Formats: sequence, structure tokens, C-alpha cells
Amino acid sequence: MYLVPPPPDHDSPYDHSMVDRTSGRGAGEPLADRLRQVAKGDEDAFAALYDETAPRVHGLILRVLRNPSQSEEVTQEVYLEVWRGATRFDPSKGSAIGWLLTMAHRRAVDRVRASQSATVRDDTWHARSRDVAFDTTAEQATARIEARRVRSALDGLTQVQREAVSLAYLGGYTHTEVASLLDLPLGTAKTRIRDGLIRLRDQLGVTP
Amino acid sequence: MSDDLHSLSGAFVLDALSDGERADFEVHLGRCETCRDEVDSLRGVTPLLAETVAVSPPPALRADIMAAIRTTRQDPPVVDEPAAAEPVAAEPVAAEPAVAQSDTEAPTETNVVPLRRRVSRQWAALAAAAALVVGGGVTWQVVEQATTSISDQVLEASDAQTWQATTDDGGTVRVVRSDQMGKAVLRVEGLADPGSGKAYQAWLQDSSGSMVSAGMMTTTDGEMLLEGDVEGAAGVGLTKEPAAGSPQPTSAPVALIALG
Repeated sequence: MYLVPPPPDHDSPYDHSMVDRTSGRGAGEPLADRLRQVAKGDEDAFAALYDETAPRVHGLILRVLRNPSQSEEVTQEVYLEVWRGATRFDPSKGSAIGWLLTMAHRRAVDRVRASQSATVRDDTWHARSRDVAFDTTAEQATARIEARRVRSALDGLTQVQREAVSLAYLGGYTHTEVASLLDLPLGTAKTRIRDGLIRLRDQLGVTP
Repeated sequence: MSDDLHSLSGAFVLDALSDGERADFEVHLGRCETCRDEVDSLRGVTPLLAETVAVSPPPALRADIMAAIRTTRQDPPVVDEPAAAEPVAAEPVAAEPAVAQSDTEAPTETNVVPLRRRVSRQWAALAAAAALVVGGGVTWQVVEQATTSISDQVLEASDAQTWQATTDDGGTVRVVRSDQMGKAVLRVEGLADPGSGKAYQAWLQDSSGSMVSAGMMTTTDGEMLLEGDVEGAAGVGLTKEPAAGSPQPTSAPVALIALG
């Protein structure tokens, strides 16, 4: 389900020196160790995991859903699922933060699409006119050096690539909805999304 | 067609595909190493994008979540247990060995018996029942012919065979298989809302009785291309699972269809 390649070969699967800072991947990733503790029922480890990841998880969900109380609900669902399903996390298949955020994004998007006809997406006009240039939550995010690095990589994309990636991931739209929002011919948004992601990957030095 | 699928890799990583496209792309991923490598590498970008929108949740949420986990049991680890259930095609009496085997492994049934084992007994019993109830294939007339997705090709195949079952809630579950294409489509209508954070997951039961995930059915009315070896499958099941999916069924099936 979560398709990422195994980490580079090295002797100890829990060698902290092997952490890849860029992707957070590596079997010695501190978060992966925490998840192992969580799987054994360690509530303190769970609290620490929450403190380390909640801003990213909640921020992503809030960005997609926009509704604060719904976002809190989904954030709670995600962490309960992390608590229940920590045994299913497999460090050889990817980073812990990737696992968590994939789950968070999927749930947020599922919530959006399940209530497509209801209130959540009624604000089409707002969606159209809202800022998609990654700076509405800049204050909270710029404190993080990583965020600044990502922001500058985003500046290196074409405007269409940047908007397409942003609307798809942070807006939770399908590529056909993105095409409509950006007045692109049907079928070209997916190409812009892919081109944008590949460029980000290369600029940020993400190694699989 | 193939070029078109390649170009979906980015949208797949960002959850920006429709359910049908997602199912088609997942099938494609199983075959296309280039796309697998690309998807793997692009997955590393999304955690970085999330950095740019980090927002601390309200402190009360932390307290709520910590309180909730204290009263929530954790799932057992995933272990490889051979023969999760008896094959669907078996006769009703064949359910007995599965139960007997479970009993030898766990002489006393207490509340620590892994849910999976308890479920596998239900699977065996229900599988036997379903084998009696569900009849052979009937041809099913396809009405819509809008696009040429793999799902549509299966539904339109000249050798398409259909099996059908009804859920307790009155929903309809159909499996349409084309042996020429070696693929099958699961189509559901009027399923009950699986509940918050839940989704339906499809399973293939192989000839040894093991259940293998065939993908998530993310809607209560719609269709999906079943993943996996549909030609070798003895049956198709549908269970309610956490929306992220489970490695093995964790609840009794809402529908179980023997492919005869």
C-alpha cells in the first residue's frame, strides 16, 4: 500500500548515523524507533511522537479541510490509528514521517471526497480565489529551516507547476479539478504535477 | 494508453486521482518498474511539502488523544500464519478442520485470542455458506460505454461472467470477471456508510484459503479493478477496515462470493 524502497544496505538496522536528513528516511530514524516503542504500548513514546509530528500532521489536514473542528477530528483519527496500527509500520518500506503523513493526507482527502456535495467543498469561489502560493501559514512555518529550503525549491518551479502541486496536495483536489481551477486543458494538470514533483525531488536532493 | 498511465505517477503520489484511475494505476504499478521507482522517489517529497504548512494543534486535542489511547486496544503484530481459512470452494463440512485446528492452537478461547483467528473461523463458516447460496455466472448487460479504462474493458468483455451477492443492509455486490483479460471488477451499489475512518476492503481468497488484499473500495456505490491473481482466486470478500487498509481481514465479511 505504501510503496517506498528499502533503505540503503548497512549492518545495523537501527544505526542512528544512517539517518537521511533530507527524507527523514533510514532505519535508525528516531521516529521509527518511537513507533517501535508505541507498538509495545509505550504511552510516553506515543506522547513524544505526537509532540514531534502533530504540527505537520495537523497542519496538513487543516490545510486540506480548512474546517478547524473537522481537522481536529481527523487528526485524532490519524493518531488513534497510529496507536492501534503501530505494529504495521515497517521501517524497511519507508520513513515513519512518510507513513504518518500518507495516512493523514489520505484520510483528509477521503473526508473531502466523501462530502463532496455537502458543505466542505461548497466554497468553490473561495477555492478559486484563495492564495495557492504557499504563504498563508508562512509565519508558523518559516521558523523551520527545512520549510524555508522547501519554499525556495518551490520558487524554482514554474507558476503552473507550483500551483498544480499545491492545489493537488495541499488543496486535496484531483488532477481534473486542478485542470479546471487553473484553466488547463484536461489531462495536462497531471503532467504539470508530475513535472513539478520531479523538479522538487531533484532540487531538494531527495534520495529514494 | 501506457504513456497515459505513466504520467499519473505524480498525481498518484499526491492522492489526486479518481478512484478508478487510482485502481488502474495500482495495477499498472505492479507491472511497470519504471513507475514504481518514480513513485518511490516522489514519495520522499510529500513530507517536505507538509513542512511548509505546519500548524500546532490546540493543546486540548493532545489531552483528548492521550485519553483516547488509554482506552484503546492496539492491534496485534502481523505474523505469517499459514492457511487463514478454508477455501471457499470446499464443501460445508470442510469448515470443521479449520475450527478444529484453531482450537488445538488455542485450547481456551479467552479475550486475548487474536481477532484474526476468530475472524478466520467466521470466514470459513461464511465461506461454506456462501458456496451453497451463490450460484454460477450470469451474463450481465453493460450499459455505460463512456471510456476505455481497464475496468470498462472487463465489464464489456465478450466473455464477462458475473457473480452477485446481497449484503445484510440490502446493498448489492457484483464481481465481473473476464478470463480472456485475466482481470475482474468489483462493483457495489447501496452499501452502508462504513463509518468515520473506515472503508471497505476487497479480498481474494486463494485456493489454499489465504486472504490477500485486492484493494480498497473507497465508495459505497462504484466499482474497482481487483488487484492480484483473480484467475486463481476461489472467492472474493469485502470487509470494513480502517480507511488505510489492513494486511488481513479484521472483521466478518459484509459479502463473500464464491467464483465457481
